[in-house]
Amino acid sequence: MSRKPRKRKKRPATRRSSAPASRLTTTAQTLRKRGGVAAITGGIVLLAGLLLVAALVFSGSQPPTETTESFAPLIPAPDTGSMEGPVRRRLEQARTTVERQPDSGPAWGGYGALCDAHSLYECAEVCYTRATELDKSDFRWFYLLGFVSELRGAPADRVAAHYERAALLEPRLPTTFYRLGEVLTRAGRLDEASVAYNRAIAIDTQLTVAYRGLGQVALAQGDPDAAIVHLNRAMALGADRNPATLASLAQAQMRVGDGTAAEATAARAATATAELPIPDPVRLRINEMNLSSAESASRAARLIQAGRYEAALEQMRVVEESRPDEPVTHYRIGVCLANLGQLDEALPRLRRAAELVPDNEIVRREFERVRDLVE
Amino acid sequence: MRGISAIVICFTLAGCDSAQSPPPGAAPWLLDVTEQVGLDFIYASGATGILHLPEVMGGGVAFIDYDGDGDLDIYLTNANAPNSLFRNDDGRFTDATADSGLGDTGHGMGVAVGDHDNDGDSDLYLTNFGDDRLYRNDDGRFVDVTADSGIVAPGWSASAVWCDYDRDGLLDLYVAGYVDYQEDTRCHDSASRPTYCGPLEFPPISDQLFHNLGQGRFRDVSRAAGIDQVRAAGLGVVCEDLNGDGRPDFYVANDAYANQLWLNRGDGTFIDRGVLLGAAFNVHGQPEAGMGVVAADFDNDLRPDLFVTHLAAETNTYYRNLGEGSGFIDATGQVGLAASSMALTGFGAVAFDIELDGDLDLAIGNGRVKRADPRQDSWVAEPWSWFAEPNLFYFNAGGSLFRAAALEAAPFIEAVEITRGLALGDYDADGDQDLLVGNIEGPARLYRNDAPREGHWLVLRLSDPQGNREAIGAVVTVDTGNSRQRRTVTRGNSYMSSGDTALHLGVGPAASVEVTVEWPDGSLEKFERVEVDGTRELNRGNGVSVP
Repeated sequence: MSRKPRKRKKRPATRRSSAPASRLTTTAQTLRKRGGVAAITGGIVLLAGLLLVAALVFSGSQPPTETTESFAPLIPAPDTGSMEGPVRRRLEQARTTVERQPDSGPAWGGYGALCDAHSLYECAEVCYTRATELDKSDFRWFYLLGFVSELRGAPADRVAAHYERAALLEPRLPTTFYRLGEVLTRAGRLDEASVAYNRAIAIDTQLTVAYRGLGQVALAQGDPDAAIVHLNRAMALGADRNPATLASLAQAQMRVGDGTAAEATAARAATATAELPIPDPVRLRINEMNLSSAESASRAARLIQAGRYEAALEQMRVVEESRPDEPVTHYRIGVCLANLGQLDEALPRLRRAAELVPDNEIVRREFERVRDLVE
Repeated sequence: MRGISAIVICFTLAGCDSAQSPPPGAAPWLLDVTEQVGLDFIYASGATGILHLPEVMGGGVAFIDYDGDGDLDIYLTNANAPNSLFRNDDGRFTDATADSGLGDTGHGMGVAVGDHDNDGDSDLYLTNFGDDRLYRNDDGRFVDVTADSGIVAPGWSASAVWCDYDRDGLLDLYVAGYVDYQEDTRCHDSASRPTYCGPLEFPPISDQLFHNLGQGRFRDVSRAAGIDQVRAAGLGVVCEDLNGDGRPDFYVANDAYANQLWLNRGDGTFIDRGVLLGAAFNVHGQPEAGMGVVAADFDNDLRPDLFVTHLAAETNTYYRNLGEGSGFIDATGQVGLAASSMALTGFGAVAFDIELDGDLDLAIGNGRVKRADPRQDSWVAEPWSWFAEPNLFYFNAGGSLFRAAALEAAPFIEAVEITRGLALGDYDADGDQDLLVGNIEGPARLYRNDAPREGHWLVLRLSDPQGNREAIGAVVTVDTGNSRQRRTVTRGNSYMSSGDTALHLGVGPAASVEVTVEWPDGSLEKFERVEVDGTRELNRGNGVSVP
């Protein structure tokens, strides 16, 4: 069979913009998001400082870096053709920033971060690589390059080197060592993984995920007794409803011959749903940079649940741009406005939502509630 | 493992980066002979641009000697066109669909070959996005006997495997059920571009187990067996004795759910021990997007290990069997299979000894389900280039380490397509296994194995007149004097595909070997001084019974 001809991709047009290369969130906002993570309370003060550093760098407030002599790659141009407006525009702005400041590490890193946030990992890897060349002092480019290069199939040695470099530049962030531990675990370098997890714990003794990692490494090393000790520690630190922790514990209990306990733990694992968040301010910031309507809608739902209607409304405005006349758009905007006391504006939104999904009881009740308040 | 000669060459040549690499300019070991043999088939997905999930999932392939002439023919499922049968005439393939009755027009997914009525010829079970079909082989013409068989599988089925789980001499059927697909669901990727939905967007459906009652009749025993207690988006399934108790178990690779290890309790019921025995999750305790699955003894410790292919951003996963009921451990990283699979989405996978050196190598077919920017080296045009990826091939470097192939497997690993089905069979009857590949919106490809052989070799074909004719489920141990290898007779590895039953082994310097067969009913028989460098028929009763 012959190869089919390949269509040549057009490079999307870019718009000149002086917008910063990355979206900003404040340290305070980030800390509020992290406030619910009971298991990492002990690390909050430490991480707050790191977040401040992170916010400063993402804001582009770092001094410009010197021009380097190293080879400059082509600026990646992901296919933005079928993307939603806000995503496309933001990517194009970030790319334009790189075009205007080709020797700026933060510009490359910011574009990489935006690509990363939208799972455009090839673009992200190129950009982060260039950012590490231009801006050798910022741990986050190395950290993010470690994360993305693993997803792109880089060998563990190379990925680990990025994390090690990040740790040299910023030794206070426990998740650098945690991520390194994960990489080394996946690579089967279990002794080194164990060391990495312990380095994370040395910085944050309450880092639940690192204890779970140690337990899983011990299990893989054929030491179920040690695995049980570590996993129980993770359980005590808040992982007692986390399916991955429970599944590993069940397996370890089985290995030591405690079938009864193993069965009971496996049964708990089967119904457990609690996530065990990794307190990773760098990746958290990346996730927040995703501008797709689906992600914004999902963030808005979480914010509404948390009673943070102003922030939720901000997210829904992004959704509205791409999905202006969907029932969920009108409904959530209506709920936010109503809870912010803007009943007159809320009412037409909820009315429209009720028209679009007349059988939805929740929408109808909220519409009637607000209508009664207005009238 | 390659021989000492290659290692010596490596020590003497500067720049030699691998003991596995052949000299520059050497012929590839897997040669694409698709055009040469006349195999002319394109999998038509039926895509309309709306991105319905079924159009990017299917494409099973099979080797089957449908006309009983001793050579392997080819069967290929299709979605928006009838399935196709190609007859093998001295190594040339001719489309024989029209006369065969096998041009099934369902939205084709998988194919499982097996002699369900034990009459000496190979029948076909087809999984569809929609009603599955059972075709009985009547002297090379196939008859749809689904309605009379008692098999009712109306949902979205994926892989299926024939296996005599109750050891009554008749092949039973396990069918992996995927999801209850809703056509109006639309999904977008992280960058807000339209893409195929994942399995978590839809309710999963349960698998089905059909007990063969004889006379071409089946009973759905999913409930009685305990199989229907789980709904988990099954895609791949194998049947193998995974805990060493002599009874065949089922292992199901689920897409985004915990994998099931259904241990056979010997009373017609099964219990899922995937979590407790370490085969449900990866090393991090996380479920992965299981697609294809292989059960095989990769490390030659006489126990079957498991290998499961996964989505990008996950590794493929190698579960080492610890034996003695201890279960499995995710040893993917230790054996060198992690990083190279991280960026790729694996589907079909097969284990075979490409150079007949005594251990099992690994071929994996890749192709995304989530869109990405088109690869510059894609062999398919947009929009399919969003999903095209190169395949993978690994040499077994001694059981505890795999090494990614380069030049040797070039035609196979350089094909940047959307590969799904993968099956093994020796279509040219030269003693080694060739590779049949199915690609979405692309051609089915046949790769001829031209690898230089490392020592003597042996092909074993088993026959069990007292049980299922092809001895599906028989466990063979080959003792060369220096080493032992364990193989199971099966057609049901990989993804939605079906291979041949013959066992192809490299036996090193041995001029003859001792073969012990554990027949599907558990009885043991020894065949002594089996001569090498040829195909040997092992018929039950012709060896020495082992008490």
